[in-house]
Amino acid sequence: MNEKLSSLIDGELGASSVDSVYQDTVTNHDQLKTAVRYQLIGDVLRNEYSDVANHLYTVSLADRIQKRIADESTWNIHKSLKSTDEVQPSVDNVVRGRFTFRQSVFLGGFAVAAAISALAVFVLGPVWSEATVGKDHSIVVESTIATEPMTDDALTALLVEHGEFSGSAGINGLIAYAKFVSHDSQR
Amino acid sequence: MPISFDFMRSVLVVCFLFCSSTIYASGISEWLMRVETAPERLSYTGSFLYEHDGEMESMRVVHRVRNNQFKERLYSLTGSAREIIRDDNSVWCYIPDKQVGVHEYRQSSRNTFLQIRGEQISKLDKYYSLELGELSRVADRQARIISIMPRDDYRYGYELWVDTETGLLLRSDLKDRSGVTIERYMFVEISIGTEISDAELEPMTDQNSLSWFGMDMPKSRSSDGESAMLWDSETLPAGFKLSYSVNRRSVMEDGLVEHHVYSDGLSSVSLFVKNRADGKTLTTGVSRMGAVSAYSTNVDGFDVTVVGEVPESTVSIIATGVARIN
Repeated sequence: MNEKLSSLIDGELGASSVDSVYQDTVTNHDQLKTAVRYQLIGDVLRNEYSDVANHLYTVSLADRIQKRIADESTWNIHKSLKSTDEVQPSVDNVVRGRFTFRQSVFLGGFAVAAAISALAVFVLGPVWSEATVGKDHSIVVESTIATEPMTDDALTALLVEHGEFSGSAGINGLIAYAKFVSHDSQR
Repeated sequence: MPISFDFMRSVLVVCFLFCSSTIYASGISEWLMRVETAPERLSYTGSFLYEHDGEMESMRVVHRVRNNQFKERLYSLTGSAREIIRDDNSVWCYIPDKQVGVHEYRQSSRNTFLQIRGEQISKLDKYYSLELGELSRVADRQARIISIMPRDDYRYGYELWVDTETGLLLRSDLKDRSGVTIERYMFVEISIGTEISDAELEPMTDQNSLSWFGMDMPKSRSSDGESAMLWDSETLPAGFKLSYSVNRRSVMEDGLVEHHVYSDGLSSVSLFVKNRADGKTLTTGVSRMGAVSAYSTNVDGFDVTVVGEVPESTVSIIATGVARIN
């Protein structure tokens, strides 16, 4: 199992096995800890280990993953667009409203494919850094109250909404969109 | 009674300083107005660098203004091939690596650079030190430097490089009060005023390969009682005032998201208040990405998040003062 886990983290696991290994990992506390350890080893080997990463992985990674499991779950449900005639997709062909299927999540305006997104945080680490939340998170980890940190995608989505309405500074109003592209290009 | 020489000299000095100050401020105002309106007037294509948190990324933008309507395509030149296309009415996000596309209606046409108008300069002067700098050069074009530094710790400052010929912003350095650069956007190559074809604004990703999602238009604040403003912050830092407010229905969860924007005329902060149906609450704490700070907390079972390009102290103060409006 550990071999599969390592392959999963390295992105080398076959598509047919990804779902089962992922589910096993997120529902098994020991296996989750092993996955975190593998990730840290990988970070060290890649010289990507840092205080920030240490804080995020050791304090809030489990919360983050559990949150993603609850909200985003499995691997793919994609509805292909029917229209092929327009330069931009027809508005009528866009799925709107509340999503009832658990595989997709819409974070304040940006849908994020579920499992890939979950592993993006798991494997690559978040873009957002939690600069001053150490004490709060420590309390939360020990607490029985059902609390959870804001996900990176959710924060980024709010940032995009903020940029749309606030006229944020940047090159000609590009800032929010550039951050979005930047955020995802790092994953 | 004869007027003394010293008194006359003092009057002349005061008049000189006053006139100089007015002309000075007026000059900056004109420059900022040019920056504000340049994207509405000009078509351009260019590549720019985005530096933050020790990272540097390159992106390309194609911006066309035709018949008073604009269309823009932005995409990353490195990493994942994300791209965003937007016009006056919509934003289309292409996320090929996740096989997802997102369409959103644009609710605001205010997404230009600075929400500054000439009459606001005097108010800005209370919270920022404005200074017209020397000539410089960016992307092989002559640029005038404008320095806008904060007078307190609740906002960041900017150093702007403005194209002297067109008013287009070529470079923007976001700085903290001590002058340290936190974030930088800078064109490295730009072509202004060139004809842009439809093909240049088309996405590189096949739209049929993506699943598309979208969001309904937001409710107008005055359309019904459900859209009434129910929350506000009682602890806004000096200079910040409510500038915009809207309610949106959350797609992910069944409930409304109340969104307020507070601004001092230059810096802005968004407050999001969302009802939680799952009984959980949001962890209290600060997050940061580049120059953007976010503070999340829970108030009476509602998720409260404040996001903005401001220091952490600003989002913290605003968020901790959020309460229901009586």
